Amino acid sequence: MTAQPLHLDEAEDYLGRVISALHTMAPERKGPLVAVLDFLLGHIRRTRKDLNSLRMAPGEPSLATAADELEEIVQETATATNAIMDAAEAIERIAAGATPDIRDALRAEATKIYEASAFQDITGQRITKALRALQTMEQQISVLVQGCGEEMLAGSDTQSASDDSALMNGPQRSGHANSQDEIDKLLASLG
Amino acid sequence: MAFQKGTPVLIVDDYNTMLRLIRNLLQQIGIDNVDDATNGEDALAKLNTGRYGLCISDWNMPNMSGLELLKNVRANEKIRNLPFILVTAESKTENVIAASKAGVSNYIVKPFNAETLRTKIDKVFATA
Repeated sequence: MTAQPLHLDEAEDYLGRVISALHTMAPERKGPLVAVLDFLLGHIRRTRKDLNSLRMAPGEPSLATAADELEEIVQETATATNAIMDAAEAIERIAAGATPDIRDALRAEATKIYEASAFQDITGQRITKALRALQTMEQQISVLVQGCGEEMLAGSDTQSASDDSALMNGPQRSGHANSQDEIDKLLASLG
Repeated sequence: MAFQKGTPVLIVDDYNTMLRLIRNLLQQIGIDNVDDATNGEDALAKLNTGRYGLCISDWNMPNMSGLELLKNVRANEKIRNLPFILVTAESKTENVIAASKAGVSNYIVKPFNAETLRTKIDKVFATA
């Protein structure tokens, strides 16, 4: 018969009862056992506390949200870089009709813009690496939380934001935000 | 043998922004006959036509990396001597060694400028 795996709260409960029962035994027999079991109980309690501290309070950004924000940064910098290169190409087109001195000077500056635009590729790759690390952490924490029992952690002592700081979410991801027109309409409807 | 300005060049990168950047930098150094591919498979199919005189590829791409593309090129009798430059953020020693073993013609670390691009291309064709 295969034993069912214990959740952390069940293990803590069993250990507490075993320790109580051991106190009825003779001191020379129970001493080492109680020490070991006390150690295990302390370890379980510390693990619970550590896991609770890893969990985000309601309203706080989660790891998944942080990963989405990073993805958005990559997309937004790509859009900005393309706009910058559009401008550099426009400068080159204008330069084509200028005197040789001005044309060469403008082309040299356009080249510097192209070279500087490489930042997007580099930052994109670095952010993608950070993104993968966050996703791995999220998966590992999820596995730990499942092992401890969601119900036990649901009543954890994490703090919830009750003041206006809960409204400070920073720039919104596209598709999750109101446009200026929508905001204007909303304000008008609120009088 | 110097690089002939009209020689067709294939640039390969999964970032469209980077393709555009390399294309513009090549234009700055007088290389206008440029085609592109956004992945290794597409690049290999294009290279197999035998019409290109130089390939400039990113390393870090999904499915077929730049290094795999290079190995495929070197394993193909028809295009095995194609000058092949890797342009990459992968600057670790082991990366450079692996690229060298695979037969890379030159290696450019990002970020780079037009002058570096010109120098590396000239060097590849000077030793070709």
